[in-house]
Order: sequence, then C-alpha cells, then structure tokens
Amino acid sequence: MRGPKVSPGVWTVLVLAVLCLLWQWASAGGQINPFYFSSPSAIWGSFRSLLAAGTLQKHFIVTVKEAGLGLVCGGVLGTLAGLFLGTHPRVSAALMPLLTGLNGVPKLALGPLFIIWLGLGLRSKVLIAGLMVFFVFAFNLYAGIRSVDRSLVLSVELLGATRGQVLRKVLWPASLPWVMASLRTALGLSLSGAIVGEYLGASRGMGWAISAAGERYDTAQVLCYVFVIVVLVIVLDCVLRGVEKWVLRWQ
Amino acid sequence: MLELNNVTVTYPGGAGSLTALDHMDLQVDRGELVALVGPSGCGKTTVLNVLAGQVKPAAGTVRLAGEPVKGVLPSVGYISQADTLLPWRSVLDNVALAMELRGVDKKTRRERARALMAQMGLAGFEESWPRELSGGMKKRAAIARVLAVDPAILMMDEPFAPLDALTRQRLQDDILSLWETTGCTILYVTHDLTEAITLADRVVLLSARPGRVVGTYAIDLPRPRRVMDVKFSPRFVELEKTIWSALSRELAAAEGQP
Ligand SMILES: Nc1ncnc2c1ncn2[C@@H]1O[C@H](COP(=O)(O)OP(=O)(O)OP(=O)(O)O)[C@@H](O)[C@H]1O
Ligand SMILES: [Mg+2]
Repeated sequence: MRGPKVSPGVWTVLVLAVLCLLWQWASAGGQINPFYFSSPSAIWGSFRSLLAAGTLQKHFIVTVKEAGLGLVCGGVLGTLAGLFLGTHPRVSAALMPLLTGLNGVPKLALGPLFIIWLGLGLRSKVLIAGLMVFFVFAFNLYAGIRSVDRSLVLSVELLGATRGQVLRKVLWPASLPWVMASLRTALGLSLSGAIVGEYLGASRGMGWAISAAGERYDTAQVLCYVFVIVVLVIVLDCVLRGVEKWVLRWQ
Repeated sequence: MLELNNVTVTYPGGAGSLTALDHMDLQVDRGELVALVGPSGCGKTTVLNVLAGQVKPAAGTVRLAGEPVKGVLPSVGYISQADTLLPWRSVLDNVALAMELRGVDKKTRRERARALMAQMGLAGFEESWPRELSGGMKKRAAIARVLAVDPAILMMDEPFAPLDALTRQRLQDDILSLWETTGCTILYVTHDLTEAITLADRVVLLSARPGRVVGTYAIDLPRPRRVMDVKFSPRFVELEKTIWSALSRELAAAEGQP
C-alpha cells in the first residue's frame, strides 16, 4: 500500500519546519541556551530588521557579485584549460602533474596573500573564488575530453571535419555533461571562496557581516546570514538542475 | 577505383608488433560491389581504415581513383562497425552533418536530409534522438548521413552484423537497390558468407591473420537481385559450398592463433 505521491521538496520543507519548531520550543523552555544557539524567532527577527535597514541586501549583492565573477572567470578559464589539455596529450603529460600539485595547495591559505596583492575589495575575492572553481573545471573537462568515444571522433573526421569542427561538433557537446557537473560543484565552492575571502579581510559582504556579528556575539545575525546562504545555494542548484535537464535532454 | 598494392600493416603492441595485413593486393573497379570476407581479426577493418587514410601502411601503395591516399578523403563514405550517430543531435541533424561540415546552408541541408530519411524509411523520426531509434534504424540513419554528400565510394564494415535476420534482409535489399540506382562503388566487409554472396559481384576471401587474399570468387547470379530471389537458387548454394570450404580452412587456421 502506497499513499499518494508527495514530491521530495515537500518533505524537505516538512523536516525543516519540524526542526525549527523543536528548536524554538527548546530555546523557549530553556533546554538549550539561546545566547549560544539563538532561536528561530530571534533569527527571523534579525532577518526582518536587516532587511528593513537594507544591510542584508547590500552585503548579499556584494558577495553574489564576487562569487558570480569568480565562477564566470574561473569557469571560462578552467574550461578552456581543460579543453586545451584534453586535446593536447603531450602538453598535458607535462602540465598535469604541475596542476595536480597546485590544486593540492589550500587556496584559502593563500587568501591573505591575495588580499595583500589585490586589496580588501572585490578583486581579491574574485581571485580566491575563481581559483577554487578553475581547477574543478580544468580537471573535469580534461577527463571529459579524454573519455569521448574515439569512434565518434573518427567517424566525423571521415565525413570531412576539420580539427576545429571536431572540437565544436563532437568534443564540446560530448563534454557538456562534465561542464554541467562542474557548474554544480563550483556553485558552492565559489560562494564559500568569496565568503571566506571576506572573512580574511574585507569591509563588506556576507562573510564580513558574519564575522562582525560573531565578534558582537550576535548569534541570531550569524545564523540569519548562514540561512540566507543555504537558501541561495538551494535555489541556484534547483535552477541549474533545470538547465542541466534541458541541455542534456538527449541523454 | 580502389587499389591496394603489396600493402603491409603492422600495429605496435605490448607484446611485440602485430602484422595485420601481409603483402595484400586488392582491386575494386568503378561501380563494382565487392564483399570482403574472412575470419574475425584477420584485418578486414584494417583494409578499410587503410583505404580511408586512417591507418598508414608500413609498406605498399594505396590508391583511390588513381590518386595515392594521403589523409582523409571526403569522396569516400565510410560506415564503420560501431554506432557513430552523435547522441546529442536529432536524427535529422545527424543526417545533415556531412553537409553542415561542408558549409551547406541550413535550409538546403535540412531539405536534403529530410528527403534522404524518407528514402531510407525513416520519415517521422526527424526530430527523435538517436537513442530512440532501433538498431536497424540507426544503421539506416548512418547510411543516410553518408549518402548525403553523394560519395562515389561506399565502404561498409559489417553494418548489419548486430541486427536480426529479418531487418538485415530488408537492409540488404536497400543496399542492392541503392547500388543499382546510384551506380556507386561499394566495398562491403562481412563475416557472413550468405550476405557476401547475396550482394556482391565478387567475393574476396582473406586468410587468417596476417590478412592476405586467398581467393576471389566472381558471383554470376543475375541482376537486379533481391535477397529472397537468389537465396534459394541452385547456383547460390553451389557458390556458397565452394567458398565455404575455403573459408572454413581459414577459420580453422584462425582458431589455432593465440
Ligand atoms: N588500433 C589497433 N592497434 C593494435 N592492434 C590492432 C588495432 N586495430 C586492429 N588491431 C589488430 O589487428 C588485427 C586485425 O584487426 P581488424 O580490426 O582489421 O580485424 P577484422 O577482420 O575487422 O575483425 P572483426 O571481424 O572481428 O571485426 C587484430 O588482430 C587486431 O587485434
Ligand atoms: Mg572489423
């Protein structure tokens, strides 16, 4: 016996609602200390006041801009690098170990360096976010190109395709599933890159706002920003999923 | 039209190199339909790849229409063993691909692709994805894709091997009528002797690896042929017996190979 179909989204909301109720009840009843753990009503309260003051919007836009620019720059450069390495086996044999090594460097640890180089503003955050994203795209596209069915390439060459045409009509569309997968991984990465970058040194943005609120022991405000980020990622991921479904509808 | 002279092909491999073709001679005249038969792994696909300029022979000369082969030739339509429709394109766009690569404008190439698809019995599947086609339909689409640029030479590598007997027979008839109407030159690789005799003017038998021509058999069955008409004629059975006895020797030799 099965009940009527309920979409998984409804379950997500339901679970969240129950958790919030429990949380609210526990902090109101003194089971947990609201000073450390805040409460849903307090978070909602600080959400409303931040919104009314326009502070939330201001920091939100700053962070989204940094992450977005980082995603676009890192994504485009990483894609180009992956395509190039995938189609040039001799170059990639020389460069891949180097890239793998560089990828092993904790990029956030370099954050202070970037801030010294590029200042407290937008550019250092874009660099951190972009760098994190770059490697995801480069490695995924490299693997994608390498896994393209040789017989497809061959058959299109036999139809008279030039190298450029093979790249545009076979290799690129064949790697689109990898681009989409990279995009979804990179979404969260670019946001955390920007936010941690702000944490390390900035004068605005959600990361900076979180660290400032933390210094004031304003747990409600910290958690408020955290929730905004979580919701943002969930929404963007849903959008990406829709795009992916459409782009890869041939699968 | 097609000519291999004294061609030797060796593949480098882990355990030493492997000679796939050994001083092989083969000639196909303009407008001829030649079937290439031989045991699995004897080098049939290699012959086609050499002719298509995909594999460089270690020795010997390869000529296409009198010209030495260097690189890929667009006047050759090559239908390989693998399924090579591009999965992210609709069937229509797959059939139009060769024209697209040559810069034919969108309207013209779509029209021509539509006509070709109708001719190959694929009408109504223009906007389908390749994964939505049956095996036989995929092969027909692959053939239509190659026909789109009027190749003077068609090379087919066991195109119908994975299909059921009924579909295969229908497609064989399609090949026969295609060849009769266009007058193109066809080199057809198969390991199915019945298919070879049904289609070909000449059946060329390759030895077990390394491949060499061990026999050429003229098929003097009347034209125009249809699969069902020739299959049960006494001459057909006679030819099949003759070639089969030679082929079975090669098959036995192939069994003995590692
Ligand atoms: N790219 C390659 N690299 C190394 N060895 C190869 C390569 N292609 C084919 N060979 C070897 O050459 C021999 C002939 O291969 P080929 O594909 O021409 O055989 P075939 O007659 O087409 O076989 P089948 O009927 O199974 O398709 C085989 O032993 C195969 O292992
Ligand atoms: Mg083969």
